[in-house]
Amino acid sequence: MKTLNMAKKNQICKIVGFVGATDSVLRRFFELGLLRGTTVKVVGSSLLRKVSLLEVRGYLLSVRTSLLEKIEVSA
Amino acid sequence: MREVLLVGNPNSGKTTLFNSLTRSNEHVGNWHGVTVENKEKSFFVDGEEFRLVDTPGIYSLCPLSFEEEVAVETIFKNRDKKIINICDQNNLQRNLYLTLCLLERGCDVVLVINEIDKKPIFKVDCEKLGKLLGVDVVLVNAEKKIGLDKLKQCLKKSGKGAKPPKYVRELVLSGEATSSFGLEQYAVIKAYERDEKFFKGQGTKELFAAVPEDSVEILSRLRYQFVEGVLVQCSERTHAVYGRSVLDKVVLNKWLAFPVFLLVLASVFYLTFFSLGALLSDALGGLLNLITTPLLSLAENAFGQSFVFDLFNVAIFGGVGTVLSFLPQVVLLFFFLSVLEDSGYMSRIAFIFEDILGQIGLSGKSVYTLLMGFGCSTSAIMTSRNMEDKNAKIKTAILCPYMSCSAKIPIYTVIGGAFFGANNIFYIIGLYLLGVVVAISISKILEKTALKSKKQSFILEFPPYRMMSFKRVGKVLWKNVKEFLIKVGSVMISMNIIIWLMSSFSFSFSNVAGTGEASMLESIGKFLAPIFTPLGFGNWAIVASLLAGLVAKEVVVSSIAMFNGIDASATKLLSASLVLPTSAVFFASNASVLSFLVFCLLYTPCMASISMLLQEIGKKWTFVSIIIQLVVAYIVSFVTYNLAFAVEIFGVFKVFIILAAVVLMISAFWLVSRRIKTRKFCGNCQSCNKICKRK
Repeated sequence: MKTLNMAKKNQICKIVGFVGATDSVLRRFFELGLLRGTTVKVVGSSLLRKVSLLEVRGYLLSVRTSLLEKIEVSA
Repeated sequence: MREVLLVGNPNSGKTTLFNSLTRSNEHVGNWHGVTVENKEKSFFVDGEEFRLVDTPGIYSLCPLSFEEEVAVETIFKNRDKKIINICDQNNLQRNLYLTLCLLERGCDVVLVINEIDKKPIFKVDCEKLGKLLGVDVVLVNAEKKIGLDKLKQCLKKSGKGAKPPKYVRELVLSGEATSSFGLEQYAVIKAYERDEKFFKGQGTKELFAAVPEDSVEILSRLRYQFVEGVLVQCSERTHAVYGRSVLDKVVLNKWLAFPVFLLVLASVFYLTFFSLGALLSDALGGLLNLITTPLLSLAENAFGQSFVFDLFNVAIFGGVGTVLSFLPQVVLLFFFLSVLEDSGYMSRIAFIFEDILGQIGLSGKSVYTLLMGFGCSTSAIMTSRNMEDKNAKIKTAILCPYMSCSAKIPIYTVIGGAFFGANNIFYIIGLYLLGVVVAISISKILEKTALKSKKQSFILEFPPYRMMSFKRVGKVLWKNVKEFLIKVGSVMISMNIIIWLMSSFSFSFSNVAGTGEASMLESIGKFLAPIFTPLGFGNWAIVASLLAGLVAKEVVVSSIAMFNGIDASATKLLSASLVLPTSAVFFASNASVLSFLVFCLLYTPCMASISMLLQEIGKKWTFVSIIIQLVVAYIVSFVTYNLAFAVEIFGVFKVFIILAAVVLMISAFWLVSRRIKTRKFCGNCQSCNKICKRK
């Protein structure tokens, strides 16, 4: 399964699942609206690709790219 | 008196509303996590007193960082208190998520929709929204103070706790948790949230096993579905994306981001220390001279050339006046930092720096704290609370004092200016950079040794770019001018009087003027001076000024002015006196000046910063931090002095060649030793000639 950290710039993905559902980081993702079925657009990333910029529910969110491994997506 | 809590998402305008309601001037900014502790102040509505508590920003009632814990704890402790829940109109969907968390708990909520922009992303029918949620809804503009009267009237109503949203009942009825554990309605919600802190760890395993594995997501989905349903009925939404701007194409561009950041920083320093800052500083110096000259002649007429006149002339007008003339530069630096904070650029800087700071066990969020350190270390240390990991918080707080604070501006300008002239700007920028490099090195060492931090979850929203209003410019300037004048009027005057008394009297309490006897300060300075001789400034007066600088860094310059007998606010005279061998404070060479400036940059910060460190990271780490500061300051100053001295004698080129050779040799040695360490033992020793760990 493809995870969100693999998505390329300007790619629009749909969240289909999560890895480690009781994690406190995932809880924060849920609070911020990153839920199954939510559409996410990868807007960009930092120079070393350590941070990604996402467009979720009409606002911009920057997330450490390694954390996006917890989010499974379908392109 | 009724207590009211002010609760909301980060950067939704809580402190702006707090300032407007209570007529305060608390620190605000356009980035996540400006408020890190509760702030309280009263205001009156028709004679009735309301105590307003401004809490740090939260997304839900499950905290992740230290400052979120403060807010959630306050809400839980004050269940019966009225809550003003402020939401940013532009990001209503996500902001209402928190509203639902509060309603689930049965809190008495007044919902405030903060209309920050003229063309908001959501246009809301507040009345309808109020009916759908079962709470009072008020549309306000917190900065322009629009809608505050209506809000005040809502606060006067004695409201009962709001009804929890529909889905809560459904969840309670459908859940296994209620029946088998006999939990209250809200406890079921917390069980779904898997909030261990709420249950204080008692029987949580069994309880959490009774709710679905993905309970947290189920609950979040129910909340978002509810919010979406509500917003469809009472609002219109544009297609704009909150926080998106064409400026980001440049500011966040992979290749342009760092050059743009450096350009911004260089412009801030140039405007602060030179051009505008220097112009204003000279003008204020002239004005102070105009004021102090007649005052001094008045004092002379009244007291003659006596002990009291000396106190006025040297300790108060000379010492304090010298520092006072730097007011424009200090205020300008704070002003530019405020412009950066308000612009929305801070979150972008955090994004850019996450790459680098992640490598040294910090988070991009540390950038806020470290940049604030350029203004004032004391307040910067406090912002380290927005870290999620304890070790990262301690590390960030320890690093703050290495960011050269505004109190050091007079030191760099007066002392550096006397020796480096027009080139002083490069030395000042070099000092600021050195502070950053030292901080990075210390962080790396702490990460590898005593303070290994957990991987931080860098999750940060991007606020939109905003211009600072004229009103806010005025408030920022006034706040910083006031704070500086209070500091000068209290700490500095009293310190200068103490230093003057200690430099005028011996330990036997006799006046040393003209007797040749050593004053108290001279005795202490002479005792400690040999320690500083290897650094190039083993002069008792310099050592005494460094000691005085432990109280506040501005005192270093004012005490030097006193020692050199500068009797008015004349920074140019003070600079000139530093090169005279007859002066008490005299620097023999550029190398010793540079070494002194480096020591001032790195050694122990002021008392206020140390007490803040004690409060934030405890005794043990504060003590460790002070030791590190002293050792690092000594070593780096020693190296600086010897390098600068070598450059003075042999020239830049020769020293560069020697240094390059040394660096090359060390690198080669390191590479070889690393190769030997990492090469695996192949087990074929008889036929193998290669060097490996075994051999």
